[in-house]
Amino acid sequence: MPKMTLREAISFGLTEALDNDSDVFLMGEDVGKFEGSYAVTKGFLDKYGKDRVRDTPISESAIVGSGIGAALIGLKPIIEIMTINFALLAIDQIVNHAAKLSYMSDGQLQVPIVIRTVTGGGAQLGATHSQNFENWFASVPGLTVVTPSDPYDALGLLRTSINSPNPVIFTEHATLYRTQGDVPKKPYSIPFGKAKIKKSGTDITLIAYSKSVHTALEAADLLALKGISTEVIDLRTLNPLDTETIVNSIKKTNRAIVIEETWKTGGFNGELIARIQENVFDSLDGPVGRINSDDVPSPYSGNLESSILPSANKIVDLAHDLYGI
Amino acid sequence: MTTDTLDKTILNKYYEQMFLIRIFEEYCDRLYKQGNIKGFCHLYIGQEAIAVGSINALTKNDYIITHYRDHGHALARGMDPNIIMSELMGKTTGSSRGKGGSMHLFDTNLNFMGGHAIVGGHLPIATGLALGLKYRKENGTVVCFFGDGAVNEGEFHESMNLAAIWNLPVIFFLENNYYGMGSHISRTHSMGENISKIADSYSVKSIQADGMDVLDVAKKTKSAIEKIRKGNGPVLIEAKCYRFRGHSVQDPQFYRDKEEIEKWSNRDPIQTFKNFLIESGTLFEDEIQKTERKIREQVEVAVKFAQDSPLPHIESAYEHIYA
Amino acid sequence: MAEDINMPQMGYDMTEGTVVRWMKSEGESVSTGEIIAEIETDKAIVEFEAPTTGTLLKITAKEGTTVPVGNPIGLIGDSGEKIPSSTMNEDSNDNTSPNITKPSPPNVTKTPPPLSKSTSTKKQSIKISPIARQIAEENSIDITQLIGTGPGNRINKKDVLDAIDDTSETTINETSLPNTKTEDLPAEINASPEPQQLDKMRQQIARVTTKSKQEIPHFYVSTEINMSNTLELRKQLNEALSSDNTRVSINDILIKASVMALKAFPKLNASFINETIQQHSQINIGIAIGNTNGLIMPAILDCQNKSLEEIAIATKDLIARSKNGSLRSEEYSGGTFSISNLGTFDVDNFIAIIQPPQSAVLAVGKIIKKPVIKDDQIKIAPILTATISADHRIADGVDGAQLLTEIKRLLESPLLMLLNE
Repeated sequence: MPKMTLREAISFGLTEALDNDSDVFLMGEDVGKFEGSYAVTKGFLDKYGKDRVRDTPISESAIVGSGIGAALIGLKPIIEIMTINFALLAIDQIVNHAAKLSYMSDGQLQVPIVIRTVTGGGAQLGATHSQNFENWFASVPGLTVVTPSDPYDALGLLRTSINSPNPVIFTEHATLYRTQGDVPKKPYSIPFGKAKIKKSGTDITLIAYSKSVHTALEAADLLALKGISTEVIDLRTLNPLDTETIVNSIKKTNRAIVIEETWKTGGFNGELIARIQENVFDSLDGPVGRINSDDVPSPYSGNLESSILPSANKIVDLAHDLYGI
Repeated sequence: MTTDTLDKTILNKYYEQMFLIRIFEEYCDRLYKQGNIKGFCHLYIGQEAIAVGSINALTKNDYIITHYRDHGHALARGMDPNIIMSELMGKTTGSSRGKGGSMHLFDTNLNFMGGHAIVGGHLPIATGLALGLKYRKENGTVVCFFGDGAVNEGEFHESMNLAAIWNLPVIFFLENNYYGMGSHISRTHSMGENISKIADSYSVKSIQADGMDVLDVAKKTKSAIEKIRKGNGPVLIEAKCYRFRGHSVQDPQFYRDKEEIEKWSNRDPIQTFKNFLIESGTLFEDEIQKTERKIREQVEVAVKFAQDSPLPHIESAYEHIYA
Repeated sequence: MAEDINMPQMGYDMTEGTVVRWMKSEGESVSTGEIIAEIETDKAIVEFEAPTTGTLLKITAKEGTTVPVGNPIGLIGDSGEKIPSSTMNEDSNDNTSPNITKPSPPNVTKTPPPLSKSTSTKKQSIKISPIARQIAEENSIDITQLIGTGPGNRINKKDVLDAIDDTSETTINETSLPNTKTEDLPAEINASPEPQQLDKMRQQIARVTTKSKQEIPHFYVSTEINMSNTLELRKQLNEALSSDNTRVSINDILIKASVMALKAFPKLNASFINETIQQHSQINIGIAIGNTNGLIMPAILDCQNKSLEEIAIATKDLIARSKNGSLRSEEYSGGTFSISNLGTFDVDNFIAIIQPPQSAVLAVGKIIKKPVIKDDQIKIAPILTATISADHRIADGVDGAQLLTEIKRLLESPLLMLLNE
């Protein structure tokens, strides 16, 4: 099976969509001549031309809004918002418009856009450029929120996103672009709302998405040194959310820690824990733990930033504190 | 008020539609106060000439997208009053089966892409509709109505710029009724009355129309469409007009005095047009009365239709969240 | 037909309004749109237009009265029309806000919800996890008799399962199995043992060593080291050091020698990650600690700054904590180089498997007296055979040889190890 980086997988998925469907076009800041601020659209402008790989002004509302408009008459725009931090400038378009039009028109309108955006910290970009808002968008009915952790999932979920008749927030973690993984040549796609068990185990369940899946896997290795068998679940999409896989795992392990990179207060972890309590309270052998970034704006300096981010060691220590393991 | 080529049928249609909007809105006011219509309800009374003049200049391939004061545009585009009234009353026979309400009317069969309730929020979408038409090399123009309040939103500026650099077929139609809710334009815009000059900043052609004169609005809209069809990119039309009622039904209107309202009432677009029709000998008074009676009956039927319609099933609240 | 005029909805959030002033009196005629009253909402006083044409038959809400939205404030109909009796009745009640029904006091039940006495209060005070409680109930375990071993002394699943094990053992002892004859027992009981399932530590060791051998191209360098000077130095040090805590072991000296050698030849203090070599600035020496269940390799952190004495203290502390389970996670995972010592067994020499993501491991056997040639004479000397396993992706034979030779040099001239302290 050929290996690809996450960047190559997404780039491949976009090329494939542009090749197969003339209704697909790309639009965003510096996707064309600059070839993408994270180099995902390298060579695209030459290959597809400026109508299908559209450089835009720095106008996030207009970028997303015009994507919505084009989608309303049947096109399939793939929007790139350079980072999720800038998506806040378009949050009116995303939340008040993209997410509402199907509902408010009782199905007369459809908004098949994909909004690709880069999320996450860990690159010393300071407080305004290191945030995660997947949880904000996941709370909005009408949006689909995709959070892949590896190249295989990224490509499979991108295919599903492009074919979806609904607005999709497709997040790419800034520090995962070089992550390598097997990507089969044979076409495949991954449905929304289906979590993946990255590693099966019997003693504790770690639930994560995007970059945090890797942190959870590291923690699983450390826990194994203590003789603890860990199950790691990659949610892959936050909305729709695969509660069933979480529930089945905890029925088996009786212990759970949820891990994500955004802040603790109001994070998606709170939602996960609530669902766990609602569904498998009687299976728990102690309180459900959560590992988030600390509730501070992301600091610039490397040692400060890494200290506030989730880490495998924090997970191992919390497992000990909560469950005595 | 002048006309050259318009025939009697068309002029009669203008009058019929303007009068329909007026009566429909008066019923809305009453029904709101009686508790049959809930939530927010913004009346189009006083601005009828704009919707009727501009929308009748369009073909069925053109697209319309508008703000939350949207009953007038919906009626002018030909949406069924029964369906609109049902939507306002939250009934299952409404255009969105009661899930949109007064501010969110849609009819995709008529390319009527909605009333939108976030000030300025639909301007980027209008730009995108035009982008879609251009991408697919389809004929058609997008007309996007918005008020003077929207000009102060970033989305207005982003959209004007984007439409200009991409040369998109869209008319940004500014219905300048002088008030963003209760704030007069002189207090909210650096250029005050000269607000449309903002178009120059984006190299967008701007046209002035008299928003109280249906014939002028129709003429100016046609000239804008001609420019756009020649591939000359977006046009801004500004039509100055006046909102005879409050911002919404609940507005006590402390912010403006009665003299101002009276001054504009003398230019009531319906009364003015009616006088023109009679004085020019286009229609006789009894013909007009006949039309008015017909319209009143039509609206009464719509009210009854809506009142007699059932409420939506609870399950429908969970439908169409996703397409 | 008379029609109620109702308190108008003058805003989405309006729930009631007050009639400030009637502009018309009972009996006066009114027409649609004519202002008939002023209504005060919580925002403003607004004029209220007649919804229909007719005669104001009745004012049911007098001036100053507050009425909920949608409730009648008056009645319009034809002149002389009979007023419906319902309106009459309400009017005859009194003259104040006829349509506001005073909320009746809610049905407050004075009786507290039933509690099952003693058990419920005990339940409150016993800290037990939900799954543990459920299993206890299913197996009729008295949780008041259990001692929780979880954090904060919470009774957890394991505590209950242990209790069930205890109970079932005594049960079997006390009662003969009724209605069960030997010949009825399932065949498996007498059959040969099934393949043994791996416990978790075994699973882990299997996984890590397999991964290591599959991914890391190991190469090996070996040498014999004359330990006479090291043994002599250790003897002298331990005679001089009073405290048991600081007694220096051969292992401590091996650690110190490895650290100093790694400082001189750092190439193997590194990890091979994602096709890149990550050199470590810290030197954390993992030591293999075996127990009945298997093997762990916790590390002494920051050895690059530690004196021999400090290493000795840290090693003792690490071993002690590995036994009571209080190792920190970075000690489990942070090793950059490891030492495996089977010197307590009768093992001459052996080769160890590298623990990823480390890139080398030093394996030493027992110190054995062997004949050696020194100054052209055969002498007896204590000899240690040492073998380094190293990751060929990071380093080559020469690098392994340099590192091992340096360790040998330090152990054969151990005073060098005290020089830089």
